[in-house]
This record gives sequence, C-alpha cells and structure tokens, in this order.
Amino acid sequence: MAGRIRNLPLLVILMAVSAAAMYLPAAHALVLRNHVVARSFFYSGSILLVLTAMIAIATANRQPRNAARSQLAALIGAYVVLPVMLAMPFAQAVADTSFFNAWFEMLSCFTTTGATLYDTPDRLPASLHLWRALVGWMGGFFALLSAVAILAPLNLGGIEVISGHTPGRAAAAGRSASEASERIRRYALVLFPAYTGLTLALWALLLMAGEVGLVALSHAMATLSTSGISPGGGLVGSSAGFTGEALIFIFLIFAVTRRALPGAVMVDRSAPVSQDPEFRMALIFVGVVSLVLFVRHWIGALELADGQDLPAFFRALWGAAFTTLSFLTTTGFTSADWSSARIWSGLDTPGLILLGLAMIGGGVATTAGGVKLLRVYALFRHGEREMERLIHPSSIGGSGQTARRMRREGAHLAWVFFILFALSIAIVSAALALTGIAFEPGLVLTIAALTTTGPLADVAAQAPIRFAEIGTMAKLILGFAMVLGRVETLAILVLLVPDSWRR
Amino acid sequence: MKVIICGAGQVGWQIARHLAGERNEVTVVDFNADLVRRATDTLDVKGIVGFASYPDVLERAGARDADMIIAATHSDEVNMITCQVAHSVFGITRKIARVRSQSYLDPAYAELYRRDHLPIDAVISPEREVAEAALQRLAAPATFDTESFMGGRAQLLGIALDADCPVLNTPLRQLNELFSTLRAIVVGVRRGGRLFTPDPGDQLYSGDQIYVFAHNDDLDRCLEIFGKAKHKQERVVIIGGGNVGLGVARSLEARTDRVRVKVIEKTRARAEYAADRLERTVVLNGDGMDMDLLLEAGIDRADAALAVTDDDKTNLLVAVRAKSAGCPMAIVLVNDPTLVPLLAPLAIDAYINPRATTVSSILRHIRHGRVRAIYSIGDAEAEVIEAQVLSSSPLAGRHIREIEFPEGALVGAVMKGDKVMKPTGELRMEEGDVIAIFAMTKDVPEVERLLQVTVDFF
Repeated sequence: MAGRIRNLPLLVILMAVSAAAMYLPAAHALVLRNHVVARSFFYSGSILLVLTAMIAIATANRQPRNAARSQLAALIGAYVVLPVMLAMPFAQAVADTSFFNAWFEMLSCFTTTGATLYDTPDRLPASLHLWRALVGWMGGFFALLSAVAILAPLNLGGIEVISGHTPGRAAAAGRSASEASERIRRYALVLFPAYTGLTLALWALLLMAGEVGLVALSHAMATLSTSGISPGGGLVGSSAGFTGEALIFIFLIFAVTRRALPGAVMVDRSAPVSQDPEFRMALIFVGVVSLVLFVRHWIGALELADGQDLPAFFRALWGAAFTTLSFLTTTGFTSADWSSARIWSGLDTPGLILLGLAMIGGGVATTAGGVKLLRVYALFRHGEREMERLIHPSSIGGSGQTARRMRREGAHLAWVFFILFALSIAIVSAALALTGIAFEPGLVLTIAALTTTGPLADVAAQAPIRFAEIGTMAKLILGFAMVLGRVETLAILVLLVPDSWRR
Repeated sequence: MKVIICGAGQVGWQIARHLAGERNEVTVVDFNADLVRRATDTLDVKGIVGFASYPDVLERAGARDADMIIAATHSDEVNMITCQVAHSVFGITRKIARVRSQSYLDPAYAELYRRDHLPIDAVISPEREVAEAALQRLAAPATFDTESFMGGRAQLLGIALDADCPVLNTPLRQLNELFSTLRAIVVGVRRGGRLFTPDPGDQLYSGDQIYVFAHNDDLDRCLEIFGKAKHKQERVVIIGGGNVGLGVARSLEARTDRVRVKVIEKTRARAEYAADRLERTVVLNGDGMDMDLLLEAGIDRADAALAVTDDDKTNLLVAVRAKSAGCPMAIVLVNDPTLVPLLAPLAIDAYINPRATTVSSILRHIRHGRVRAIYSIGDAEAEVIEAQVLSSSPLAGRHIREIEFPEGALVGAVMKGDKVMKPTGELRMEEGDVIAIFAMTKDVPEVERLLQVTVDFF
C-alpha cells in the first residue's frame, strides 16, 4: 500500500497534501468558534481529499517515459492546479470576495511572493491569516524540495552554474520512475524535519521575545519560506521589537546559502562557511548596501543637525542592515527602524536599491527567488577573469577545476538565465502597460512578482502600490510572472522546447 | 662497498660512473636492456636486466650481500617498493630513493619514511633540487654558478671576470692583504677550459672563470670587488610549467619581496594545474618559442628569463629569444652536458644541470665521514666537500698550515660553532668544526681519507 502511494504521480500526492492541510485552519477556526470559516475549510478539505483519492486510483498505474521530465511537468502543474484548490476554502470563508481574487491571493502565497489583496487590517479572520502563512510555508518547502529533488538532477535551478552541464538533461541514472520518486521521498524525509524544526524553533523564540502567538507563527513561517506573509502590517507594529528582528535576521541565513540545511546538493562542506561564495556575496551586499543607505541617512541627519543622536544612529544602521538582507533573500520584511531612519534624516526610501537587491535574490536551491547569488557570483568571477584576459590574453585562470568550470560554462548559463530574466521583466512590464498601469508602478510590480518579493510594491515605489487596486487582467499577468519567477524561466523553457514533448 | 643502482637512466648512469670510479662494486639494474648495455660497456659495472622491485631480480643483482641500494628509476612507487624489498627481504642497511611526486615529499607526511614504515634513509627529489638551484641562480644574477654551504652562512660563487674587473693582474696573495677584512677566498680558476686550484702567486686575467668561497655577509662586497654590481630581480619569466618551473614560481611567490612571476606552459592541462597552485603568478598557455606570447609575458621588461622545459634545445632557443628581446639575463635547464659549451657563444648567462644536482645530492649520502654537503663542479671536474671534523680524523688538533692537503685541494671556509671564518695557516682545526674543501676530482679520495675516521677509531 505504502509503495503504491509512493509511486503515485507527484501532482496527485501534492493535491492530497494540500487538501489535508486544510484541516489545520479548520481546527484553528473551530477553537476560535468561528464556525463559518471552520466549516468552509473542513468541507473543502474533505471534498478535495475524496476527489484526489479518485484521481489517485485512476492514475495509479501510470508509467511516465521519462520520470525526471514528468516530475518537472508536475512541478509546473502544481503551480497551475494547487492555487485553484487552495483558493476554494478561502473564497468560501471570505464572503465578500471573488474566486479570482482568492486564487490570486493563494498563488501569491504559494509562490512565496506574499503580495496580498487584503491589506486592510481586520479584513480577514485570524484563521485565514494562518491559512495564508501555512500556504506560503508549504510553498517554500515545495520550492526547497523541488530545487533539490526535481530541478537539481535535471541541471536546473542554479545547479547548472556549478555543474556546467546543459540544463534540462538528466543523467541516465535519474530517469527511471521509481528512482525519481525515491529521490523525492528521501530528500523530503531529510528536509522536512529540519524545515519544520527550524520554523518551530523560530516560533518559540519569537514567542519568548514577546510576540503574539499567531503573528509569531506567521512570521516564523514567512522567514523560513521567504514569503514575507504577515497577519498585521509586517514587523513595524510587532511587539517583539528589536529582539524579534534580530531573530528573523539570523534565520534568514537559510535563504542565503543552501548548505545551511541538510541534504543540499553539490556543496563542498569541507570548506568553511566563510568561504562559501553565496555567503560571501550576501555578506558583501548587505555590508555595502546597508553602509551606503546608512551614510546617506546620516548625512541627511547631519543637515538637520540631528547627527549626534547615538541611539538613532544605531537604529538607522540596524534598519538598513535588516531590510537589506530581508529584500536580498526576497522575504520583504521591513525593519521598524527602517521608517524611523527616514524620519530621522528626512529622506525618503531609496526604493530602487531594494528593487536591485530583490533582483539579485538569495541562494540557489533555497526558498529565495531572484537571479540568485550564485549566478551573480559566477558572472562576477567571469567578469574578473575577462579583465585579466585583457592584459594577458593567453593566461590561464587558477583556483581549481570547479572554479574554472563556473567561470566558463557556469557563467555562460548564468548569463543565459540573466538575459531570460531581463526579457521576462521587459515582457511582463510591457504587458502590464497594455492593461493601463503606468510605467514606474508597472516595473515595480513586475519585479515584485518575478522575484517573488510581494512587499516590494509597498516599499519600492514613490507611493505604495496596492494590489487590491489593480485590474483583473493585470493580476492574471502578475500571477503568471510569479510562477515564472518561482520555477525559473529555464525550467519552463526546458519543458516547452518542442523536442522535449515530441520525443 | 657493494652498491646496487636501480635505473640506468641519466641519474643512475652518472652515479654508477662516480661510484665505479671510486673502486666500488656496482651493479646496475634496469628493464631496458639497451640502457644496461650502455652502462656495462662504458663503465666498470655489472648489469642486470629486469624489473627493479622484483625480489628475484634484486637477488640476481647480489642484494644478499650488498651494502647499499640506490633506487633511481622513473617511477616513485617502484623506487619505494624497491627499498621496502631491499629492507624486508635482503636487509640492506642503506637505502636511497629518488621520489618526484610533491605529495610524497610534503613535510607533513615525513613520518612515512621511518624505519618501521617505509624504510628509506634518504629521499632525493630531483625537481626540488633543481628548483632550488634555479632560485640560487636567480638570487645571484652576476654569477654563473652558486651553491650555499655551512647551513646558508657561506656561498660558493662562480664569477666570470671581464675586462673591467678592478683586480686583474694582481697576485692573489696581494689581494688577500689588500682586502684583509673580506672573508672570501678564490678556490678555483678555469682558464682556457682547464680548471685548477690557484697558488698564492697566481694572477687573475680577463676571461677567467673563478670560483670564490665567500661569507654570506660579504657577498655583495665580494661581487663588487670582482666588478659585478648586484641588483634586485623584480620580474621573472619562467618558460615551462613542470615541477621545476612550478616549484620556482611557488618559492618566488612565497618570498616577501614581491617578485612578479609569469609562467609560460604549452600543455593546457598542465597550465591549469600550475595556475591552480599559484596565487599571484600569471600562467600563460602557449608555445614558449612564440614571440607574441613572450612579449605578452613582458619578456622585454623582465629582469630574468628561466627556461626550464624538458627539452634542452627549446630551452636554449627560448633563452636566446629572450635575450634578443631585451631580457638582461637568461638561465637554462640543460640535461645534456655536451650542450654546455654552446652557452657562451649563445650568450646565455647560467645553466642548471638537473643531473649534476641530483647526482651531487645522492653522492652526499654515500660519502664516508661526517660529510654534510657535496657540490659537483663543471662536468665532475672538481667537488666542494663540506664535512665535520671527527676526533679521530688526521685533521683534528692541527693547524691548517701543518695539514698535508693534496695539490689540487684548497680549504674554502671553516665554521667553528656557528661562526664562519676565513681559513688561515694559523687556524687550528678542532673536533666538531666544519670544513669546506674545494678538491679536483683526482684528489677527492685523498681528501676523503683526511676527513675519514682513522683505523684506531674502532
């Protein structure tokens, strides 16, 4: 029986898990005596479970020709099918919303974007906030698992930069169905305890820091999955204060480098963490950007003759450092001190810097989005090497076979990805312009969706952009961009290349 | 003494020549019958054709009653196993092996060669010795030959005198009085291709090549007196990224005075290997004979070019190219000693003979007495022997004046404690002193007799 379940198509298993997850908010709502919400979650979950079971029976004996590729299809299929399922209880529980809006909300959660249509306080009951955070958290885990177990064997998701092999081409060994599902099962068993344990640990620590129960859980889930989903207005109104921010800051490391979690692929664990390219890149970015932001605020404060205020001085520094890392990992939390620094100096938010940070993104094979640090690193190394070659055209670069491969094939693939990313920005923002959104908000929304950093819309533009005010067509385009940003363009292209389905 | 030499290649042959010339009973083992025949034809040695590490081959070579085995085949592993077999099966007491691979030579794993592990008494690494020789040549650009003695406190310098040398046509005795504080002594002169040890009345002429033994602190002054200005080497181009070139580049990189090194290597894989092991050094991939590549390496602005590929002719031609492009100094690696006379017409400043360096380091371990260092000069025309004076030696307790040195032998320096002194007739040799003697090859046995323990020691 267990073996049968294990060999079911990946998408069916995912559907079952999502349906089963609906019992959690149902129970939560029941405890809170919000029976309408509890009922909608319980009924939706039960109906969907029955439906899934029927699909499972129908597909039990299906044998895909190329298992690795069929899993890639399932990965993309998950982003098409699951948000619709997840939106069912949501639309039922919130009476005054359309199913389309519920779908957008769920897609945004599931892709760990965290862009919300319901940003007015007390618009949603607590259980629905729990559902949003839970979907974001599951989406984060799915991104993590698929990066390691589905994309990595196909040389996708950033691994192609290290291996230097053609993306989308699996090793012959990974093609059999049982092996591919075995791989997913193995990595799920390794990753799930770590992912859950870390979330629970952060939840407990945030509770100790004085955060309210549900908010603490949402923030813990949002940090680990880099979704940035918060029941309140993010960290600004948080009761945990600086301690809470510091804790979240520490846990964001799991979005910077994949080696922080067990089961990571292609990691040289013999080298110290301080030598990890992604960790170092993140350190440099956070260091330089927060320093630049801080100095800018400080000079502004000096002009206001407020530069002597030492506590404000440190608060501005902390606010810059936290917000930089939070946007670099595409989480999108804003430090409470970020806005206080603005008041201190009288200068407004440099939104463009945050856009840039989100585009760089976190580490490969983590829950973060964006171009990813490793690709930026490969391009940087390649550029450095090309500079050397200007002086010595026949020179040979050193520092090992791996580094050489990353500089050559890796940088080439990183460049391909970067161009695809840039093209996606151009196309999506052009499409948004067609729906009547002005260029600047359009660009911010595009980058927010593509890098899965929903809160960017709130912070990066001159005036906060509200997703609730965008038209239906634009939402559809943004939803597509979110999936594109989450799965990565290369993976979608690999699946869509005619040769891959004709064969 | 009965000696088995495994490997009849260049190094094996040269050692066999040295040892056979000293009336030792030498057996040469090699699986190449041609090489063995060459050795038995030209030298007074016995030859065995076979695989050196096989016990039956060693037994045929007379391993049962041999005193020493020298494993100098091309394979590190064969050399190691040969020593192990010689130890475990035949109980040969002295074992010397040539080991090339850098990993085996890492000081961190030196324990490997202990008696109860891999019983090798002396590990000789040709590439490392050659790299060291190359570094010495680079350090003393005005000389054509250098070697350090007395633990680096004294140096033997080979200086070619030209017409603007200020001390020409002056008897050496007079020079000694003129520069009485200079701790240096001329120990050998090569004039018209003939090497001899000078008498105090001899004079130096333009075109002479002299060997001077000098205290380390007096090197610059000594070079100045013989008309050679010393200047620092800042840019070095190394052609050939093999073990020698890489070794030199790594040593130059490790130095505190930032020397800018460029390495040119033809094979891409080897160039990548070298680039991985170097930090600041630029490694260029291409033919060292290519003028564009040499210019890319900045040969016209370099202070020295070091041609250390494995091909002698390439080395010579690259050196000529480098010099014609404006590099003031070129050092070449020459395996074939018959090419050495070509260096002067080609205006190549200095050469390294890997064979000679390896042979001298192997010979160091063979000599009797407390020999600390041996350096072979020219095509084995003379040797510099550094040795400790034993209590039973005929030297101990006597003034240098009283010791009956053979005609072709001259004392270069004496070290008492850790103080290096210039030898004078009044200096009294005592037990534990270190003495460095320059001796013509024909007088080496006599010098060895002086350094050796006498019979009553036993």
